[in-house]
Amino acid sequence: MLKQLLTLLTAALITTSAWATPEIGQPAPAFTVIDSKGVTHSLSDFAGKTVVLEWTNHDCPFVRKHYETDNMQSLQREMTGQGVVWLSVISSAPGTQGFVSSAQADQLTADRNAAPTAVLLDSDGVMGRAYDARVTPHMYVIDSNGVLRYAGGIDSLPTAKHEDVAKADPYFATAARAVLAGETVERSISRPYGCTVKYAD
Amino acid sequence: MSATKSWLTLLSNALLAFALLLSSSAAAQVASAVVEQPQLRAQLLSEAQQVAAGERFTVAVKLMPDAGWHTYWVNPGDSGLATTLAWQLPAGSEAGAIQWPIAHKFRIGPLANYGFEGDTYLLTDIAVPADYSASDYTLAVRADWLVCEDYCIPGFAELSVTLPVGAETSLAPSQRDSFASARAQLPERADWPAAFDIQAKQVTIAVRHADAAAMASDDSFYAFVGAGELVEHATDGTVFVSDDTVFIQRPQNTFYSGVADTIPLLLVSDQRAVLLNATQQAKGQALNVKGLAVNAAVKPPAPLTNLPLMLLFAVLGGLMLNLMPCVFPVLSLKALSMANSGDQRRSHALWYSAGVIISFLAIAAVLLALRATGAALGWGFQLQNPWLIAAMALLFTAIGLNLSGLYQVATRLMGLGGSSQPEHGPRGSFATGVLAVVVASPCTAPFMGVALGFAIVQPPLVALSVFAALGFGLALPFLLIAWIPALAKRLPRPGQWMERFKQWMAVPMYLTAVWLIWVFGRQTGVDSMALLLIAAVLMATMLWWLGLRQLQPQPSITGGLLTLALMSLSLLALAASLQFAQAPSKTATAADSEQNWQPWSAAKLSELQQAGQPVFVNMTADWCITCLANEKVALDTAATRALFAEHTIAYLKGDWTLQDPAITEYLGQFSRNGVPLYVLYWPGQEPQILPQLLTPAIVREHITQFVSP
Repeated sequence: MLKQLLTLLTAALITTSAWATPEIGQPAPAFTVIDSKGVTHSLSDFAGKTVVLEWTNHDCPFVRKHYETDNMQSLQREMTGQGVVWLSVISSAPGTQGFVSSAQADQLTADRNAAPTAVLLDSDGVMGRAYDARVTPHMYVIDSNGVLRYAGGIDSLPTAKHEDVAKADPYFATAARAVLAGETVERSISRPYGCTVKYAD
Repeated sequence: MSATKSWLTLLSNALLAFALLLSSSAAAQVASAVVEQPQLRAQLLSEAQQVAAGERFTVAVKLMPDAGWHTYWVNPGDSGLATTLAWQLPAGSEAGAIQWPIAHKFRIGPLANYGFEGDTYLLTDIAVPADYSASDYTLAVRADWLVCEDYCIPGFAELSVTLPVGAETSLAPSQRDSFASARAQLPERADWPAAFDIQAKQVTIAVRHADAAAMASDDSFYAFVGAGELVEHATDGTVFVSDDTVFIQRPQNTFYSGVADTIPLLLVSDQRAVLLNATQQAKGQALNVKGLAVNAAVKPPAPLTNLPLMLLFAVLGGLMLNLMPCVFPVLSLKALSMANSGDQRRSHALWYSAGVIISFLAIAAVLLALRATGAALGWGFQLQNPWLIAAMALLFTAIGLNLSGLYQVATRLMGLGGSSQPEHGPRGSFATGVLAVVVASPCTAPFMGVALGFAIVQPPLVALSVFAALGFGLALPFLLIAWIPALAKRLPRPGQWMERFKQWMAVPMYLTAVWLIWVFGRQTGVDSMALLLIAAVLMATMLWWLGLRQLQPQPSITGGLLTLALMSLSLLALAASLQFAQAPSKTATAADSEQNWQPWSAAKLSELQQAGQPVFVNMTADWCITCLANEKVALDTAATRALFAEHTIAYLKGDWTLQDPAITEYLGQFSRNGVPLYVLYWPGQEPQILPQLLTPAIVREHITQFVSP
């Protein structure tokens, strides 16, 4: 009896509480986060530009797969070369894997020869939770009208094997190129694979 | 001395080498080397120490993560990676899928993963080709895993074992314990009907099995969905049980991008772990429907459904009728006269039997006609209906009291039967048969009541057969005597024993009444049951009074009035018990048998609208799990029923199970091509479409918005 009542209440809660989930085809969630240079960025600052969000954690084997094969850096160059705003987001809480100071973040960018527009330090996880980012790398594409067009994994092969980068279907890159070309995105959602984002509890 | 020593050294060296050879060949064959990787060691084990062509054997990849580290299930959850095994086997061999152990749930902040801690065995069956001719069999596997604690490390190992090939497979004694613990980690496999569908970003899974229902009522119950990105993993969602069906509702995963038609579903409670397959419910696909259609009513114990057995009982019942006080004396007289009637006795007996059986069939036909009329009027004769159960309980009590001798069933037909003179010839014999049924009616009526009560819930053909069998039973002694005249002399003499026999027969009647009252109590609750018992007491009092009056030559008017008063009081108690019935049954469970809806039709809808009544339309189908779940959670609840009653909202339900074109057209009006569809019509307002996923709160909100404060 009590259990039934509880389940009913839970059902009511689940359905009525607004789920903060990003939706394809809907305006992307707003954010305001400081980057490694101390500059504050908001989504609204980039109106008229295509924005790519990349959740990252430099010690995660899945992130390393794409940095050590130069896949991520190549994509960053390709995209930023076409006027895309590429934001690498670190949502690791202090004391967890992937958490870095602003100096360390810049060092990582230099060491890895990475080319993001900025590295956002989201250690309280507010932006990560707004986007429901679950893993690193977790990729999002927002078009010039601020509409979310892609969310999911970087490619089709959920492994940490470097040799799989070349074999995979590059879901994220295909979607981003389609958005830049003004075409419809065929696959706008895919399985995000990688390490859990190390949120503060 | 030195020679002896060197000989000894040589011998011991040789022995050592031999021992090493033995041990290495035994060990290397069934277990690979252990591969050390960061935080995890891996090994390949074979259950067989010798394999054979054309046979299967089982191997295990044993993962030994450090304490606190885990590897992943087939669906790793929000992150992580399922372990993969890539086999390299001799040509023609086959490796089965991984038999996953029982998964565990790991919470990581707002996310959840599924996997295994501690020593984990991934079992796989290997089939050796039938034409395998080499003397040994080498199997190699590359295992790729992700081992995680707070952070994750991918790892892999290449493992292999070589086994000798022989005439038959033999198991390695050294591996018995390992494989026993491996199998202890496996879930049971079951083929319980299970299906899922996705509506309004909610995934509803239904599993129909009493065992599943038992598991789900445990607080430890959790359903592991074996498909990535179908449901959200971190939220527990909602689980509710209705009869023997478990409904599991979970929010659809944000990163859902399609799902296979059939997915593994692992149900786990503290007591059991069961693996089954769940199939996606396609629109209009009636295949799984019957397995899953939910029976909302409290099921009364099933009446006898075995037709031959039923007919046998009916024949025995009919036979027993012959022993009743008002039948037996006739039987003995008849029997004697018939035994003496010479050549014609057989045809006489046959015509007599025909008369009896046709009379019984006529009674059954009248009964069925009544039933059909009743059904047309909308009151179904179903055992699920508490009204019918209560009426039958009272009927059986009355029958029992009659058999006990409290009162008599007097009919005018008795006199009729007694006065008529049987004619000769077939027509005469037939008429005698008909009359026998009529004459016997005072005694047979109670038994006919039993047959009636029983047959009323059966399909027409069964009901007719049962009555025919009863008639056959009644006529059976005559048929027997006709063929074996000597039997007539064996018949016992009529006497007081007949009366005693009749009184004993009251006992099963009372017991039947108890059973029916119990069913009624299950359906409606203890309070209603008490009221039904009061009705029974009042009825018994009335019958007792009636019985007293039957003994008086000149019944008084006041006595008649008292009878009437008691009869109306007992009817009142019966009605009250049913009124009362609704309160407990509504709050107790979602399974409420009381129907508060009417079938939808376009005409009915517009009629109600014109009458200015608010209307709630529910378009549903048997194969629509979401529809059923909504009804259980939000519509068939005490609160919603009360709400509908309070605002006199007419509830219309349309059944699209067979894709009724009228409903298809109606759905089209709302640009829908499927169910569920919920529409609320409020006088003077635009029709309101409710969400496809209902909660009591949603229904309440939609209704109360129209009610002026």
